[in-house]
Amino acid sequence: MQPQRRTIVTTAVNGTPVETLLDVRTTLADFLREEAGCTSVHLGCEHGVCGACTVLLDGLPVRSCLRLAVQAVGHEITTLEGVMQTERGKTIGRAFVEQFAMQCGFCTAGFALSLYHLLENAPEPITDQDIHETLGGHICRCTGYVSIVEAAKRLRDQRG
Amino acid sequence: MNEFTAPSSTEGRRLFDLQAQYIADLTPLPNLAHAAVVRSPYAHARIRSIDSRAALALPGVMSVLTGREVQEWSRPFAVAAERPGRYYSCAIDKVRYVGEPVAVVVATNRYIAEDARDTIEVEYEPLPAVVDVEAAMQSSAPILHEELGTNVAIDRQLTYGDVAAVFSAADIVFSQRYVFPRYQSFPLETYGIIASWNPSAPQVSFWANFHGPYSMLAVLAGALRVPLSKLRVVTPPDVGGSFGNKIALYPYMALTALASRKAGRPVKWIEDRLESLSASSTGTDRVTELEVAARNDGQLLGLKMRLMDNVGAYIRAPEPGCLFRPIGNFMNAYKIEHLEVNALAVMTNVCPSGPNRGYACQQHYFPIERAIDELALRLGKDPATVRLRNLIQPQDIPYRTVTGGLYDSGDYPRATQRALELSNYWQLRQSTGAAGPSDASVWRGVGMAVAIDPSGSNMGYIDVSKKAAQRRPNLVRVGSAQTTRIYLDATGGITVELETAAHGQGQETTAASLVAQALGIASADVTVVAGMDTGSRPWSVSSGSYSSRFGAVGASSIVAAARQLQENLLQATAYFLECDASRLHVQAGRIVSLDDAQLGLSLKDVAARLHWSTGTLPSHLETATQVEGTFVASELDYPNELDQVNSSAVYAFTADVAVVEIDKETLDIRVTDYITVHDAGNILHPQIARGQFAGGLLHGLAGALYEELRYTETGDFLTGTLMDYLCPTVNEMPGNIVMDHIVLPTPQALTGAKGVGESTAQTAPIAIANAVADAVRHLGLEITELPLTPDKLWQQLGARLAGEPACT
Ligand code: FES
Ligand code: FES
Repeated sequence: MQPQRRTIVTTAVNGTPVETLLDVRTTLADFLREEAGCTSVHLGCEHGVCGACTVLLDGLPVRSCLRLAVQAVGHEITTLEGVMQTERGKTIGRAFVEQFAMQCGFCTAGFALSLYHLLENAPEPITDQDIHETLGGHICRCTGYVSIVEAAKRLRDQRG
Repeated sequence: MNEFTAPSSTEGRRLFDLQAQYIADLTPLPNLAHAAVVRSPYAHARIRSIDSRAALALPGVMSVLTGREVQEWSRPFAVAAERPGRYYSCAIDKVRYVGEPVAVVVATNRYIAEDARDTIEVEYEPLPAVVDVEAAMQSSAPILHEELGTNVAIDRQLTYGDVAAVFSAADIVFSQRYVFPRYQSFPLETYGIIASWNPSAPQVSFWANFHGPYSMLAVLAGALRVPLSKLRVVTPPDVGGSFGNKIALYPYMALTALASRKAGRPVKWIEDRLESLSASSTGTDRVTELEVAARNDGQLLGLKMRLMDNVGAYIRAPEPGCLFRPIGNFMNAYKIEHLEVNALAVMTNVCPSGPNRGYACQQHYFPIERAIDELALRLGKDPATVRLRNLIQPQDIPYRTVTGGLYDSGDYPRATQRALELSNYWQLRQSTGAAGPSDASVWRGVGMAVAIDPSGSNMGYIDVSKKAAQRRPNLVRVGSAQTTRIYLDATGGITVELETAAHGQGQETTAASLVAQALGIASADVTVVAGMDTGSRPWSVSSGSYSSRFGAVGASSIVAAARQLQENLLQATAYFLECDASRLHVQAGRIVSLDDAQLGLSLKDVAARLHWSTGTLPSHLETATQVEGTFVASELDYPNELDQVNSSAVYAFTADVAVVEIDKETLDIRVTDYITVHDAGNILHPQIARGQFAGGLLHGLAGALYEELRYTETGDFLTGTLMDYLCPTVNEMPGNIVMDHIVLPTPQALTGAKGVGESTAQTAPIAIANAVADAVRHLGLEITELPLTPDKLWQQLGARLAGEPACT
């Protein structure tokens, strides 16, 4: 609570340096949404379970609702806004859109970022179990996961 | 940014183009302030005092709204109940559930608003609480609304046919008590509202993830004491799901509007997950006492049902929909003509209830479908055989149910047989329960459920809550209607306005393809205006996306508008080419002569002429470029003297089979296979329909095995996080999911489509319960209550082994 302490947060969001004066208690998610223009970051629970707020911190998926913006100082953050500038991001988008792997879309960026990480980093072959483990860290309330699994398998099969 | 090949999701493209706009992303007005809600930690208590001084002293805090102003500035929300409590958007002098709003702080940002919230001192005098529906009906129970002298808001007796006669003539009569739990198929996006109170009009503007029924806006306007015409509600293009949950947004719209009135600024409020789980809206939990009369050959003769709905602390519109929404389909898909229902809505110290995907159907069918399995067991028959024997036959359709429903299309035995076939049911039945291999680590079970899936609610059904003599004949509420507007611009571009406040159903994708089909053009050439705005688009009280009404009602209004535009194009071309309109047709974006393929005009040509030559057009073509299509569902009526009503525009059908495995050591329950066969009429978009079936399965599975909003006996809330309230992930979904359908189009809709949105959410809890019952019957376990968890099975097993009566 009081008194509020402020600090300058310097970080890189989607390859662009950002410098902002923030309350030290500002969460990474709020910083990304309110200050860095990344509204693809969604808040579904704000306590680390649903995965909607997932972003990549130095390439690793993290829950931005559970971190403070100050913990990202000196690190690279990537959100869907950044991933969609890459070929792999576009491929993921295409697979989701064509497979109807989203309905309301609120969970989608989180799934897309975790899958991006899997596709970028997992050694061959990516198994069904790898896919289930990756998707299992996210909650979707709309799709029953069927179409998301299909999109993920299609992306796995296309990887190369 | 990206090229996508058709067919694909318009909504999805917007998301990956990074153009999505959800309510939390919006700042439609300058000077937005942010709200935090002070909430009751008690289930039942008198409010002694509220001290906001410390909060108001914090820099950045603008105002604190309490019950005092809420009572002065608003009225209780209207609801169709004989004995409603006085329900305001905020507690006035008493709190009646944990999480009930007590005050609203408005500050420059949410962090400060929450800081201030924590400094507000509320002094409470705790009172005894009651959370159990049957306990709340006892004369000794604490009374929530003293002025009523009872917690029973509704007590209706409905009788159809000659129940006494069939019960006395029956070979077999049995009764059972069933408990359907309280869960919330919550959307991942919570409630979000921006409200701006303009004091001089008075006028209030909202941006909110509201999706109808728009009748709730009439309730809201009444409560705010503002004419309906002075409310404007904008729904953003992207809404993160609802499943019925956001229908109960309107009390918070009132609260945010009053907070804006107090603060003198537009106010934004985004709910958090704890608030959502404890104080938004939940499915209704219900205890049913069911009596069944049948013949020895398995023929069902009649039912007696006592329905006890726990509507929470305040009965709130659209409740008592959980009691009456399925009235036309009270008998499910069975030919039963004798029914007695005692429908009770009871208030207790828990969060108010409301629609939850499948609204009322899972609650209603659970006892019936469990009892059919029980009947089969008692008669030594297979549950599938008993169902097939009692299903309404195709030659009986159109079939008028004894409660007033009109089943206009369908072949229930065929769909059911298909589900049995696809699941390999008859073979599976040979090896379930005790018949499985003794060295296996699991017991298997197979169970089924069938359901009539009502879609497009008739506004009138709710008046069954009143006795015929008490209904107001001059205020007859009947029907379901939707209007859609389409524009043709000067270059031949087509724009469709969605007026249904979509929230994840792919309606933009479907709308574009329906219009494109009618005009023979590509979907990509149709622009759809997403979201909704009551200030600029047509709407009426039945508008919105709820009760699975888009396919039958909403999409039919799109078809009506597209047909009108098509007709206008023919008329215009006939005028320009000086030929007979009846000899023209629309083909691949051109309006061409049936007699001479060379004679014709392109859509672009006709559009340019219509726009650029308005000065010379004949009067019938002056507005040819702007059309409005309205679809009004037919055959909907007002409840008659006998309490019969056709409660929904159309009725789809679902037949499901679930296969479960129960670990012999841990009693862990897994659904391995799920087979669902639908008759949803014409399928407007196969992938979208499939997505709805799979999503419905998720919510049904959740209700069967995982999700339950739990309270202690004294009303403390136990499931406020997603660590306590367990949502299925991909790893809980059945490994083998088969979705199939048969197509029997409904004549009641221009699209021929019936509902797809709620279907499996109604059947899955029941099919899974029946499968679990099949797996554990040989252990002497009875399944009469959900959710089914290993510990509940253990308790029952333990009690049995100890020779005590089972308690689950
Ligand atoms: S919002 Fe971060 S995990 Fe749910
Ligand atoms: S698409 Fe709505 S939560 Fe996943």
